[in-house]
Amino acid sequence: MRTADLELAARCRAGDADAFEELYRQHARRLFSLVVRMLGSGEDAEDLLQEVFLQAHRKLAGFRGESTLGTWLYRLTMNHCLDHLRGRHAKMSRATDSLDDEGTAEPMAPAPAVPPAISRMDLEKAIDALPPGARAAFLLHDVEGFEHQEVAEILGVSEGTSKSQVHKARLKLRAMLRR
Amino acid sequence: MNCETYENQLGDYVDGARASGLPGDARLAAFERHLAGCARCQALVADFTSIRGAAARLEEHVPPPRLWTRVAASIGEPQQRPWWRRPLAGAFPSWAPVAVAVSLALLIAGATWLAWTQEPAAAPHEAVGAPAEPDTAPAEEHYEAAIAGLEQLAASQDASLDADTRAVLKQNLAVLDRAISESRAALADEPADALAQESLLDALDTKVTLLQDTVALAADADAGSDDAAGAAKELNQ
Amino acid sequence: MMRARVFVFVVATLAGALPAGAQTPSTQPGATTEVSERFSRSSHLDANGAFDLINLHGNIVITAGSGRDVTIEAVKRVQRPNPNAARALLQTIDIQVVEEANRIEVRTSYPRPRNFPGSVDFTITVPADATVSVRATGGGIRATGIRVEALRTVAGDIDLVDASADQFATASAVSGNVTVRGLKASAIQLTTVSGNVRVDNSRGARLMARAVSGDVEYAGELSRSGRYELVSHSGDVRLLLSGATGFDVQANSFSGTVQSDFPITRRGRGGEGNGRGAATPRAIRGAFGDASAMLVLRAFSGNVSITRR
Repeated sequence: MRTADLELAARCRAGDADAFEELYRQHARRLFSLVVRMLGSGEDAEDLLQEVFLQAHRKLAGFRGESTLGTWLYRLTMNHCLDHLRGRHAKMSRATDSLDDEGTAEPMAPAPAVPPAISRMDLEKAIDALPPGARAAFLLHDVEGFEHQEVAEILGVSEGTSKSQVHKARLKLRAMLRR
Repeated sequence: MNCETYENQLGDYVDGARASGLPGDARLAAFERHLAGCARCQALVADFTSIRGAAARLEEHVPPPRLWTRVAASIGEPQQRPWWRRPLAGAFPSWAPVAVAVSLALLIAGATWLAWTQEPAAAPHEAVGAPAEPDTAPAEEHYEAAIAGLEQLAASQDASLDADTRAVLKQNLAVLDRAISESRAALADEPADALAQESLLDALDTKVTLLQDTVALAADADAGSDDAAGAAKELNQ
Repeated sequence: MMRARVFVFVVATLAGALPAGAQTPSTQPGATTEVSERFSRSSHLDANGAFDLINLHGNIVITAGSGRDVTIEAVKRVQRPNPNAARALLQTIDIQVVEEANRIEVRTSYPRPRNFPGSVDFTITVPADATVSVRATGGGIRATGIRVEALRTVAGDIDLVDASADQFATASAVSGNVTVRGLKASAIQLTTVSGNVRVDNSRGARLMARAVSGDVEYAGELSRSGRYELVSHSGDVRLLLSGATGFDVQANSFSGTVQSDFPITRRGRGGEGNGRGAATPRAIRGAFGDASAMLVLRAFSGNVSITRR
């Protein structure tokens, strides 16, 4: 797996346009979905992803294979997303879900509160209301299907933090989706 | 109740982990025993499982083909898409009601401007067949639509800004319009000239930004005046 | 909780000088009375807070201090021939301060902003790690040592000294100069329509500076792997470079000249921007040194120059 990655990276560095397109084709779809949900906007996602791939193209020189090329790309993408969201949050004057805001503890209803069949639209809207850190972990783990160890690597946090962020996200989503 | 101490195990359980008698599973096994008698944790497990299921079934957002065009172009020509030139719809102020009407106009005007490529003004021996005449037209239409919408908005807010400010804005819109017509004239003379194209789009982009800022300022003033009028009313009572 | 020290004083001013043997003040055109009122508020922000100011007309001075204090001093001013009218108008200019979740917003408001009668000048200090955003309809903004997010004014100069910026910072005027010194920014955009943009001794990853009718000047060193885009329509674009950072440059002017003191290794098949098929004095495209920084310099009718500082 790593040798294939290193090879692809080397080819991209050497200016092989096909290699870079291959990299794009391999990862763009999943990354795009992720970014659209992180930023809540298709247009923003396009811009951001273009920036990411441009930066990836320049930084491939430094790729040494410590992680897979995919993880490396995902990490680049998530960093961009989180930076973008932090910039935007500082502007919003009435934001109640600020990065530092822990909010009130979610009520722990003793009975199942969400409908067994959750509508896609409701879920997407609810995800959009999650604070950035929890949103990132939830999208990577529950939507994209990464293991906590992978999520941790992508976000640059501990596995424990990944688990608690996913837990926090699920709690908030539950509160928002309750019927 | 010590539900909180089992937070990690609950998450793992939702993810499908089950204790299998190995020593490493001790904590998970303890949680399973706890779960059997805890309605709250059972409810969480049920809800989290629904959420996780729904999340896993969310459909992909497919990137439009033009994204690759943009990426490829920007790799080849690093200056292709200035990093600071935000998509028009996304750059609107966050007070959505006013912006929605205009951004709809933009969406209708189409987004093909993103596909325009910089005319390489090929060396003579490469100029064969139809010269790939660069098409700023889609981009221009996009901008013109935005400008028309914003001008309408700005006109409807004429009551909000003071005379001096309006004069400065009007003066500078004239400066921009001059820049736009100079660029257009240059482009008419040399349609393949990338610099003339860039200058035109720059000027259009600046005009849109100026109009956006004007509309935002006026909205601020309105918002402030509502508050102030309210406060003044209270004082007078 | 608002501690407003209010005192009103009346100043009689004359618009013009009285020549010897002149008319009495009451017949002199333009005699006005200025009334003013001070406003003062103290607060604080925790680490990485946000400070937003929305003003109508007036000059703004904002400085980073040590510690967590936020001090807001303002002077409201109204000028009218009739001092009673002036005083009445003064009362209706409102300065609101909203504090929530490590963010302070200060907003000047007036019931009929179209007829805003005067000005509010602000002198503010904030903690050095607070992110600052200022939006003014008119007046200058001078900011020192702050962490900037956005500074905007319509008519007035912007002076930004020793500031820092995270992603996507902006300083923009419509009619006014934008001058930046000692900035450390990862990405910043400086724009004006009528006025000059000048950047001095600054560091960062990305800089976009644009003027329509005015010059754009960058003086100092280039950051390695920085990206710089300097654009003017009818003004000049000037780089005054010190240091030895290599750069990749694409410099064009449609009807002005392009000139460089630095030796540029030309690139491309000569199809530089103007379709002439050969390098011309209106375009330079190539590399100096290790080409680590990227420059895009563009003027429509002005000149582009890269000189040694």
